[in-house]
Amino acid sequence: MIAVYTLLFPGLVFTAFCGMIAWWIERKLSALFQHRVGPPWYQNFIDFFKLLGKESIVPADSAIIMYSVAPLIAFASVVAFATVLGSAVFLNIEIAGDLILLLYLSSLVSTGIFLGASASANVYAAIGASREIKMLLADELVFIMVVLVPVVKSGFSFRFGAVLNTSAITSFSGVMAYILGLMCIQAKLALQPFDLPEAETELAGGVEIEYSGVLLGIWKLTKAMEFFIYPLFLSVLFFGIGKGFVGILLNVLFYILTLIILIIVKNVNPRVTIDKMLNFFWKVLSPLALIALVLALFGG
Amino acid sequence: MGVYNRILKKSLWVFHMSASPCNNCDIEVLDLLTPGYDLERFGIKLVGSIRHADVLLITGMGGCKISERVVRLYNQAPKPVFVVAVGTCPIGGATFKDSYSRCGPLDKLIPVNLYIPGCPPKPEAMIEGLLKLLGRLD
Ligand code: SF4
Repeated sequence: MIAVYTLLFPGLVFTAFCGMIAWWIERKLSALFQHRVGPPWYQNFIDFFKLLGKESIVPADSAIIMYSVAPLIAFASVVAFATVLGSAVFLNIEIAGDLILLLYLSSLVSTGIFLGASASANVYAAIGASREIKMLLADELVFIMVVLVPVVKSGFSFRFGAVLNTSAITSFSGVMAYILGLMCIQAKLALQPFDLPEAETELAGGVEIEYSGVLLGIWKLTKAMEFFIYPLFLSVLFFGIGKGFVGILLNVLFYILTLIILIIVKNVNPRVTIDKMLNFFWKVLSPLALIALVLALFGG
Repeated sequence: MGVYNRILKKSLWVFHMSASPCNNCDIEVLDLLTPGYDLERFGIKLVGSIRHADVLLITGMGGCKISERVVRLYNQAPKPVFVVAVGTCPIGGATFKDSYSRCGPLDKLIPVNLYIPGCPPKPEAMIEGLLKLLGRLD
């Protein structure tokens, strides 16, 4: 059963499909923002299958083992994240301490990206790697405090199931934490204004610059799956799971709303510099997240 | 290769390299990405790293200094890769044909799959050319 969960339904295949579609929504909406037509809906699938057939080059002076293992670490963590999250959301299956596990897995993805980039022996990739780890340090603290708000609301339970039964968004501190959470997700997905590790125009793809062929395909698949699971995580964390048809419809709408807010913020913001980003997260967002948490503790 | 070519056709990632042009062709290439022409609807995307590229798009007459780099980039690209030469420069040198620093034409350095002549070619001509390349993949 575990193999089916991991490979098929909430895990690999399902999440990859939804992720590619979510990523397409991002590309299409961005195109519409710029008055373009944009790619067809199957574009990401085609890109992925094309990459599988290309030659995979391993640069001669890279750390070869780490270079090839790092994408798999990130990919495996994303699949595990998707399975744990999906089982709780779609199948009502819980495992002990799953919320903590999810937090841990989400930072393991960034660690995988960091390892892969620093193993590729490329200056741009090295800059991307250092930015990736700085961003992880910046957004992780805020993200943990944000996640604690629904935990407090659900009566100090670290079981995901209990969190899913309460909807924290109805309170003031919940709304505040949700908005802060959106910014953390923006940083975790490396979308503008926080796309520092990739920075297409500046670092030429940054962390992925040396990857080609199958390994690049795995990076892209990882990214597509992140596109689905992070907004899903945030939306169910704060909205809970609705009962009946109307409840589920509201859930889907709230997920789409979360995704669209992320895309709009992406399209109207330029990239910030790394010091601005660190300042913003540590000096502005962290105190706000703490305030939201304290408010939640006092029942606000 | 039939199925794979059909997939490849719908997702060509282009790496743009200028090998001593007068810069006019580069500006026209950038025009392709503006909303007026929007190549993303054909799945064509400009990428920043040669490792991601399916098409190596080269402008310019191939100066002696850059020509080593052209060969190096071609060798670094993951195969299959297609080389597209934009402008009259890579073919005949255009205004630079008698230049002391010219090591072109381009096909002396690397095999070229497609020429798009013009000085500079219009974006429409480039789209036409790229679509011809797509047609040749059948
Ligand atoms: S072909 Fe003409 S426009 Fe293009 S780079 Fe050469 S001289 Fe310039």
